[in-house]
Amino acid sequence: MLAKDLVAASSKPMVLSILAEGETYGYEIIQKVRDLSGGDIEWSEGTLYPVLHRLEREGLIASEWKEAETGRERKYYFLTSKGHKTLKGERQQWLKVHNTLCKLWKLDPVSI
Amino acid sequence: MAESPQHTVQIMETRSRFDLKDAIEGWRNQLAAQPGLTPDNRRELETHLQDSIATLRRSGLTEEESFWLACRRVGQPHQLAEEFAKVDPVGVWRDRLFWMAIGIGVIRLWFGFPAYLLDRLRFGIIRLCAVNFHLPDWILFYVPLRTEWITELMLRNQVFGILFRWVPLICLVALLATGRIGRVLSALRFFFKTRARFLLTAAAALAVYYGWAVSAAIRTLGDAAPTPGIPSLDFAIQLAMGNAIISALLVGLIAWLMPIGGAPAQQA
Repeated sequence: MLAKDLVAASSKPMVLSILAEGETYGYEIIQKVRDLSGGDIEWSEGTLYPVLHRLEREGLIASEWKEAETGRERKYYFLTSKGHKTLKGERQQWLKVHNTLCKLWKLDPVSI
Repeated sequence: MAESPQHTVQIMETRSRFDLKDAIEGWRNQLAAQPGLTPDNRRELETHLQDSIATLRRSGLTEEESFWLACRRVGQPHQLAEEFAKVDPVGVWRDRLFWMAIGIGVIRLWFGFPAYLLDRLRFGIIRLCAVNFHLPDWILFYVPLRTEWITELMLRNQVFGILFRWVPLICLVALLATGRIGRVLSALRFFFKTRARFLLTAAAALAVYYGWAVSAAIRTLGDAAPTPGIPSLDFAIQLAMGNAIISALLVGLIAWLMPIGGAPAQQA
């Protein structure tokens, strides 16, 4: 399991990256994070939705109610152009941290 | 009188039968009691709960088991509301201020143009009464209706005047509270989709309305000689300008407080 601080700090780049792959809704985002992390990162609804709403207010993502194939409506989120730019910056910062740690731990850094 | 034991058993049996719709309704009501959650937040959380229930159902749990487990995962309503408010304490107030500004706007609109139309309607009714209100004497003998009373009531009764202005607004609030005009609201959402769209629509409406007000003032007061008790043309135009500035400021405030995101990104 991940430390709480780290979960909170990584939520922004993670949500932006998931939305960069295409529009999706809250439930699917939680499932995706659980699957990708092998169950190590377990977001609760109380964590995810406030983050989504904050990012939306910052103009990084936008949302729209749409009907799914099942006939139920869901609130879909998608990345805005501002969000795309922010994601690039976030990615660089995280990789810088990652590379610094890699060098300290004698692992191969990745190219930024 | 005491109920028969058989009756009580029957009630208990009906109660113990689990109904998913009722259960979700109960959950929804609990959520609605939380002050920090907007209707949109609640709707979103409900779709989440239903997705969660559907997944659990597919994995072989019963409706009731799925419901309770999904509820546990989504979290207690008051905790959810706290989490939502924690991330954005200012946002809760922003949202409230947005609706207050909308409310002030609606009141201004109501007391402006439609009130003028309704005034004309009142005079129309009174004129109609004065001309055509000739009921046979034998009816008037039993039903003592007098045209003057209607005129008196509509024109000079202050209580009637106040009710006439405020009751429709209070009805509107009641309809909003019971969710009866959801369709009208979702139609209005079109204008609130983006800031630019809202500002353009509002600017056009303000230009038409105040343009009309100024031209009406020029038409009615332009050639009139100064009379005590009747405002001069300058005064009327200044009044319209002042009101236009306040309306424009209000529109700006609403646009600024509007809870919307940016435009969709171009897919690369």
